[in-house]
Amino acid sequence: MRHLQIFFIATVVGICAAVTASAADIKVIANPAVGASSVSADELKGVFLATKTSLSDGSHVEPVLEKGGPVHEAFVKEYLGKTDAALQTYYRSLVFTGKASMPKTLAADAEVVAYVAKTRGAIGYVSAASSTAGVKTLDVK
Amino acid sequence: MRRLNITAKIWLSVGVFILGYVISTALSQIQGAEARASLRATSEALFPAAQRSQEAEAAFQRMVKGFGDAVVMQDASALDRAAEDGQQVVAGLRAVASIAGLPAGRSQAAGGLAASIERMLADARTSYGAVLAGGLSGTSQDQMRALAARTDEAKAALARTKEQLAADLHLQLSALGESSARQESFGLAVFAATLILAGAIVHLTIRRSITGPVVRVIGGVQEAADGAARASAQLAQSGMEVSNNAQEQAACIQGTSASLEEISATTQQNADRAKEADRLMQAARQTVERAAHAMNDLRASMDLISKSSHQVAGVLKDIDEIAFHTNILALNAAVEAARAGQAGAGFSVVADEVRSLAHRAAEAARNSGSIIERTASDVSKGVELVAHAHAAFQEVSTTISSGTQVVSQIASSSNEQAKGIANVGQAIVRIESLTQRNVSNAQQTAEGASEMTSEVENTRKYLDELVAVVGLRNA
Repeated sequence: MRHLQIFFIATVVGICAAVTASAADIKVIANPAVGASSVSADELKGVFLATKTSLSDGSHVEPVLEKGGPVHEAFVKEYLGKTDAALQTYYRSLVFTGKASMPKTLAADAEVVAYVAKTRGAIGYVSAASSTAGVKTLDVK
Repeated sequence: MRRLNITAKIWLSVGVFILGYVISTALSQIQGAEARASLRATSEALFPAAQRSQEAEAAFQRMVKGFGDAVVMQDASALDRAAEDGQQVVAGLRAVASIAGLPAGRSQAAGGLAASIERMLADARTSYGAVLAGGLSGTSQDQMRALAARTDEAKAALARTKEQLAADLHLQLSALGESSARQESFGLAVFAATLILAGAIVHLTIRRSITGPVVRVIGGVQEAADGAARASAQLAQSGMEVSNNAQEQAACIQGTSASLEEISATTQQNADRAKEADRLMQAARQTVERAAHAMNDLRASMDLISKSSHQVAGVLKDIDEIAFHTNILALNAAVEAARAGQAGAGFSVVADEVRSLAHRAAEAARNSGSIIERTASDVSKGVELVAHAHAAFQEVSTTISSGTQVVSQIASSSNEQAKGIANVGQAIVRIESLTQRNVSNAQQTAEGASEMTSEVENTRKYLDELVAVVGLRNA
């Protein structure tokens, strides 16, 4: 009976792991012009909530988001502590109050990588499996 | 001020007090009217303006929130509510602008702000409606940013307007409060000044016109009482001394009177004795005069005796011559008898006898002569002595005359003295009665002095009471 319970729990956890991505499956990428090679979780949150426009080393950054998807969901939840809907509301309130514009939103990891690679100061996130050609991967501390 | 009497001074101070009260009341009335006018202006203009601007600000915030909700939550109904709130804002600001009595700048600012917000409201409705209908494009984001900026500006302007109106209101109320406080303190100052002035006048009046003179009078009366006490003490002592002295004097006078009576009696006796002595001296003078007559008679007798003695000496010479002749005759007879012889013998014896007798007679005559000579010389001496005695009697008579005169003078002096002593006695009696009166007077004086001392003590008690009433610390 006890073995059955353990098996059941393990199965559920496994399914969940299969459909959702975790922090370990996400890597933060940046345009190579960005000087820093690592970024703190707070800095990352600030950049993506439009409260920061530069990193601690002074390099200008501009966030790039994905439009939905498990990687986006996982990033928003893990690093920003919000749901996608809350994030959209948040951005709209920023736009309404004139404090910021809506961030650049792209559909897939490949588009994100391509945009980041060509846009100076761009910072985004992709799945860990994605190719990171032309961009630099930042360590999140 | 100095010429006014106490009542006038007190009424003057009360008048000053009343005048100050009237002035302070009138001033407070005037200032109260000003304050009421200012308060009316505040309540009719500034207060509603501040209230309306505050309401407009609240409506503006609701409007902004409504637009935010519409955009953020994608809620189209919120847009209409926000538009209504915006209309309220505009209406409120227009109401503020139309309030009479506001400063012109404030009215213009409110009117301008109303127009600006009205325009912004129209733009916002269009832009946010487009956003709700078509989503966030780049253009709409720019419009929203611009709107946000205008919203911020309008919000700031609204807040400024509200703050200014609130500040105006606060300023006005503060001015009112200050004016009221000023009025209050001015009234208080006037009251205090009046109180101080009236108090000073009362104090000075009391001090100069009541306390000062009373203090001076008290001082003078105290000094006088001290002097009177000293004087009465001295008087009592002097009275006692005078009384004692007068009593002693009376005793002395009584003694003197007794002595005077004795002296008077003695003087009378002396006068009597002097009269007696005068009489005796008169008698002695008569006796001495008789003795002088007797002495004259004696001298005459002595002269007669001297003459008789000389006559006796002549007789004796005759006897001697007779004896001598007898002897010669005897001798002749003897011779004759011798011659007559025996017949003459008897005769010769007789002749002898006769011769012897003649001898004896001669001798007796010689002896008698010497005796008569001695007698004559003794008589001469006696005459001389009688003359001396007579002269002495003359001197005695003269001396007795002088003595009589002196004794007469003594007698008359004694009489005078007796009269004088009688007068002195009368005077002494008078003095005694006066002394007795003096004694009683001195006793009365001493009693009066002690009574005066007790009166002075009473005076001092009353003075102490007066000092306590005046509130002085008697040193």
